[in-house]
Amino acid sequence: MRTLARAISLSATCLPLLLLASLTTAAVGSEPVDAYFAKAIWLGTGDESSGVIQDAVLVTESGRIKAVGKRGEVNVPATARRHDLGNSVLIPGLVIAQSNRVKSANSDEYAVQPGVRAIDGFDPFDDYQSLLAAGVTTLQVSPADDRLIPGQTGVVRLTPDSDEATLVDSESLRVILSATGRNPPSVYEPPVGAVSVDRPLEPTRPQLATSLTQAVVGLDALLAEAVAIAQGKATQDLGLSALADLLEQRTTIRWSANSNAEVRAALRLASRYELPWIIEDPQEVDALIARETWESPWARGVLLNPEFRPGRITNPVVPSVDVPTTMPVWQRARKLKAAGIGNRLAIYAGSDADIEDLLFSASIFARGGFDRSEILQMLTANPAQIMGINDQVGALKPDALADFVVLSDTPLQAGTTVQATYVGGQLVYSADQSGRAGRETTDDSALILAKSIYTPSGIIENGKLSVRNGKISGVGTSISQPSHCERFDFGDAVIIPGMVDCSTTIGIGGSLNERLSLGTKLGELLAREDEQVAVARQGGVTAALLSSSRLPSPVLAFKLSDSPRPLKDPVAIRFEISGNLTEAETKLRSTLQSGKSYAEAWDKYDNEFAEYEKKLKVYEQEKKEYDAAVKAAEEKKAETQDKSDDAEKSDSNSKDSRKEPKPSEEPDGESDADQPENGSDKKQPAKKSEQDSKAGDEGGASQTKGGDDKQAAEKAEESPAELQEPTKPEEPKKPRFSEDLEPYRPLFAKEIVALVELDENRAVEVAVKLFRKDFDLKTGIVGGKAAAKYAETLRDEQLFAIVGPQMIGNEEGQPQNYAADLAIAGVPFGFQSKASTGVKELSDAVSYAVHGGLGSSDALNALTTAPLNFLGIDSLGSLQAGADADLVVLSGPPFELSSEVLAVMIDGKWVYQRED
Amino acid sequence: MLRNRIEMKRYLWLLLSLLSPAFSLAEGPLAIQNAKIITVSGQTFDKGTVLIRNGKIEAVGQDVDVPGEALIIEGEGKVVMPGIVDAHNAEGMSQANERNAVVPFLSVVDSIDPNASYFEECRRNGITSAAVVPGNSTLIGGKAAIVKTSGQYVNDMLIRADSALKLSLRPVSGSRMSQMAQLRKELQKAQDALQDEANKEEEEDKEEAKDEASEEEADEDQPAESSEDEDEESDSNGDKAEGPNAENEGLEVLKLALQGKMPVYIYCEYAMDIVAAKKLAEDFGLKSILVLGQDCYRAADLLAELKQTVILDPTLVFWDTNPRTREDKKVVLPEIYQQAGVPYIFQVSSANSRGSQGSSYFWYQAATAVKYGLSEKDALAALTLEPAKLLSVDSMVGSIEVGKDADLVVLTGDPLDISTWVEYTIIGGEIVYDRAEDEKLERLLSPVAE
Repeated sequence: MRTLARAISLSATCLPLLLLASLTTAAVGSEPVDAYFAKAIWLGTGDESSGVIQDAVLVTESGRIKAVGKRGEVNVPATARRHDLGNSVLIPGLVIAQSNRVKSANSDEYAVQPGVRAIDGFDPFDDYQSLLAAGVTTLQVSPADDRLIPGQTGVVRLTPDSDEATLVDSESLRVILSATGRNPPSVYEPPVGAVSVDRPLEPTRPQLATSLTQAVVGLDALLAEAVAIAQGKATQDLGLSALADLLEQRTTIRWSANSNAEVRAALRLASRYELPWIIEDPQEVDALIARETWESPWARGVLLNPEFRPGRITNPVVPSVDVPTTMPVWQRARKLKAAGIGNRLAIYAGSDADIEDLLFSASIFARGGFDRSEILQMLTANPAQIMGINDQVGALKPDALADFVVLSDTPLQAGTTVQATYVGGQLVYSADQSGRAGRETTDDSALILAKSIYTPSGIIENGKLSVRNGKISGVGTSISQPSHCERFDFGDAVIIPGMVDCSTTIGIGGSLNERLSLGTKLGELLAREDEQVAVARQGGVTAALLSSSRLPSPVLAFKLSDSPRPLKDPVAIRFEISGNLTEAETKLRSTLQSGKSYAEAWDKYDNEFAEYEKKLKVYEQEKKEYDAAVKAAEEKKAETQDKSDDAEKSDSNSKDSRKEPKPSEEPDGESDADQPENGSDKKQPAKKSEQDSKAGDEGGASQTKGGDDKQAAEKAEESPAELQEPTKPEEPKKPRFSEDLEPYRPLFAKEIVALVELDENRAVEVAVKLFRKDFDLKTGIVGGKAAAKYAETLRDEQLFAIVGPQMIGNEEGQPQNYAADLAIAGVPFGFQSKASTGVKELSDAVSYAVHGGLGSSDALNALTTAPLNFLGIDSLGSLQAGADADLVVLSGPPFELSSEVLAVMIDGKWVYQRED
Repeated sequence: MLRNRIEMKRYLWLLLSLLSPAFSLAEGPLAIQNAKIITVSGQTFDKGTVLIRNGKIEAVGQDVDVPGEALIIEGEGKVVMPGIVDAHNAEGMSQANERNAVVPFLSVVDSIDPNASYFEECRRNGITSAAVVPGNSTLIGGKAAIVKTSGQYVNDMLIRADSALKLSLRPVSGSRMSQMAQLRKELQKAQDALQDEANKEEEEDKEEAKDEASEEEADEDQPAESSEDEDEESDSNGDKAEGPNAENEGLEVLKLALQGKMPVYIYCEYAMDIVAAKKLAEDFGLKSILVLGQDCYRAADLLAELKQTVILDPTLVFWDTNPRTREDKKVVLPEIYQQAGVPYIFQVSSANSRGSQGSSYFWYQAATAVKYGLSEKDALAALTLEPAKLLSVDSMVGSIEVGKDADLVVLTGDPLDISTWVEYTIIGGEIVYDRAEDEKLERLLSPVAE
């Protein structure tokens, strides 16, 4: 509820009014009046033109509806509390015409028990959140289905006030003429034993009607007797007194009748005893479409259910002579409507479990030619009328109970969800609230609605943006929504991606002026819950660059979340060209040169090391094979020594073979190919003796394992004299590690960029020559004035630029818009504030550039996507699925001073919401 | 019939007094002195004296003159408080009715067993008065009685027979709806009977008036009517003459309940039963005493509106699971009812009709309530004076006041301290329990096994 209130208060328009309203009501202190403003209100009656009010308002007072109508045409008292529900649609709370929501509903012992009242089994203290979440506010409750006369039904409202729950305590008497009532399980057999005065031995009651005829005859007799009792013509029978009372009051009878025969029987009995009737679940409607049926004053209505279980598959019966096909329910409904009784039809859920999906499953009646307002009517006004409670519920009209449902969009449309449910003017369900319960840990989903959403593929009007686990999961007008999500409807607001500031001094809890080693990881210095960050992001900047003001300095890119998260550390090295250009150039050249040498040395090492690892693998394989061969040879030698005295000779042979490599005779193809490579390694021979001894050790080790390949042994048998030990490759030597020079490696690998800060125009030439041409780095020019002057050069040499904080300068008396010049030249650029809390004002500063001629889409690009592109950060910056959920909600189009930042989200969490 | 029984009782009483002379003889005065005396109804004396004579409290206070002949209990360091009053339990009967659903005519008096171990336990734990009530597993379970927990025969013990009627809203078999339907039917029957009587009286009055005013006009109709009346009367007379007729007697009991002459215990298993109980009380003019199940805390606000003392479920602290969200929640009944402003007392009889948590459990329950915010004073009142008020026996028991029955408990220390023992239990001025002579307890606590 709190979150809903927050979402409501966030929408721009209602703020001062809300404040005013709360003040005035507090002063007056009378019965509170509430006014709900919505995109549309569906009254529950009338067709799609007369029953739907666009841009409407609903006024409630002390639990009842006071007025409903078009905004401006309805008198809303000045003291009313105003609730702006944005683009939501209001409908009446659903009226469920049939359910079994009663507690301990185990079936009773008798087949005929007119005295039983379902209302006694209704538990007003139960948890009805799942029904309220489905938009249900009124519920009919019935006793069990498996008795001929299970008892009286009642109607309840799902209000938290238990005293007001009962709407009708005896709405109708239920009679089950369909098959379920005819073979009731566990029907009363009087127990024998424990007979006492109060518990006499009773005869078995002949109460099991096994055929329709028997049931009808029995019912006829019962009703006749009850009528006689009611008229005083027969003696009181306690078993029938309840029935007699009901008949006297002309209580409606609810006939559960499926077949034509059952329906006809029901109608006949109803007319004979002049009792109002409701037919439940007719599978055949021939008897019902007869005109005289509806001319009867006793006709109340027909209840149909969608006859399919949402999300479940059933196997339809193959039609045969024995099992004729039944007409689909929507066709039956169409027939009944054609018979002119469309307003006597109500839809209920086939089982209690399906009530929660009725707002979905009822749409199936559209196949029968019912439009949305008609279907809604069958869920609200019609059941209310059939049950005789239409003055209370079922339609939004003055004096009715204030039971209504707030939908996200048009009712019965795909994707429309229930946002809130009100009973008696009280908020009893809110999607935001209930989605939370018990699932805090799993995800933090949100659905954000706004008038315009700026995406890479254009501006989406009246779009939705869904967020899940800190990422954007979808953007569009018809996206998939997370099932449990908080919903934020910002009405007329505009959503743009979070902005990027290309130079700031925030994030570490203070300013940064000292000389830093280039290897410093600024990301490790980020402070949590920094108050400066909290202020800075209020302007819509969600990511920023940080560096020391003493240059050169490493540059960190991070997010302005509560615990700031490094995006890329470092993302750039920031250099400076100042003072005497010649001197600066020389100095920078030597700096870059040393960096380059360092980077190259490491690159070389990396290459060599990669090669070394490859060779090492090959070597290990060969070594294993060799050791196996040696072992096999030795075993064989041992054998031959036993047999003859040639032992010494063969031993020396094998030793010779080790010293004289004969690659061509090596049987293994693989080592054949490797051999030349081994030879090419110049350093290898020098280390051979060492390797030999090592190999010997390893060989000994592998001999102990014992389980050598037979194949290797065979090979050794074939050519014991040709064995040759492989040589181990040499590990390349590591260059000296220098933390200070370390960032040059990604710099020269073009993984990070060089930012060159300069203020003199000509310094651009130096920067281009040195950084771009000589050292081939990804380079950006920091300084709008100079960059704008050399815009063409920058474009040709593929440099980028960073503008700010000054956006517009003065060149020979003419204002010069740096950003616009760069945009025209096609140079990618970003903006910087070089400020701490002043980061907040960056977008206002850019507004000035836009005012001075910069295109707003270029400006937005330069604040979001462009800098992230040239900085090589790709997980954010645009509102598209998969990107980080960093976004800014503006009250109007970006870069207009009238637009205000309403809220800022970073990684799916709101980090700023405008105070009320 | 009712008259018969009372007469029988008198007769029994006479018989008993003859048989046991000790009982009828006036006891000598008894004094407990120098003890901390918690009167519950009034102030607490840190060093006071209670003087008992003829089974009643004669004096209580700081300065009480103790007559020389009085037997003296030295109470130095001890605490004296009124005996506990158990407002609802199904114990103490040799056989309780847990079988027959609609038996308003049954009386627990016929089943109370003075030698039941339950009463012995009561004395050991300082319970001096108890309402013995039919259990929760019936519909109209019969009549309750309030007894002292000591006596040789039932009639020694009785404070009030037929003190209340017991209804239970928990279904015996079948559904909650049919339970209610049957209950309403029975009550309706009684109400109709009352209405008939009233109509008849009115008619008779009218007819008398008519007779006097215009005999001629009524000539034709009257004979038939009067003969009908006579027939009916003779019928009912005939019934009465036949002896005990369960149906009629039951009806009489229900009539008393409907007239508000006999209070009605209503057992409410679930919160929804509170709504039904409230409706029943309104519709039929019942004077209800609500006996609550665990779940009833959901209706705490509704109970607060009723402004009557309720009897809590014996289990005061438990875990409840929300069937929808599967969330577990710790429920502390005393806390919830206190916050809602519902006055409550305790019971130890278990929710499942049979058995009990044991009478020592009262102390634990009071201490639990104190743990969750009830004042110690209120907690002790909830054990003594409040149940006495609820049962309308507060003129006799429930507090230490001059003129009330001398039902006292002498404790070794603070009442809610776990290390405190009941030293003596005194009922009607008689010491009915003395820890020094409690062999069972001694054996239980003796370290040497036999």
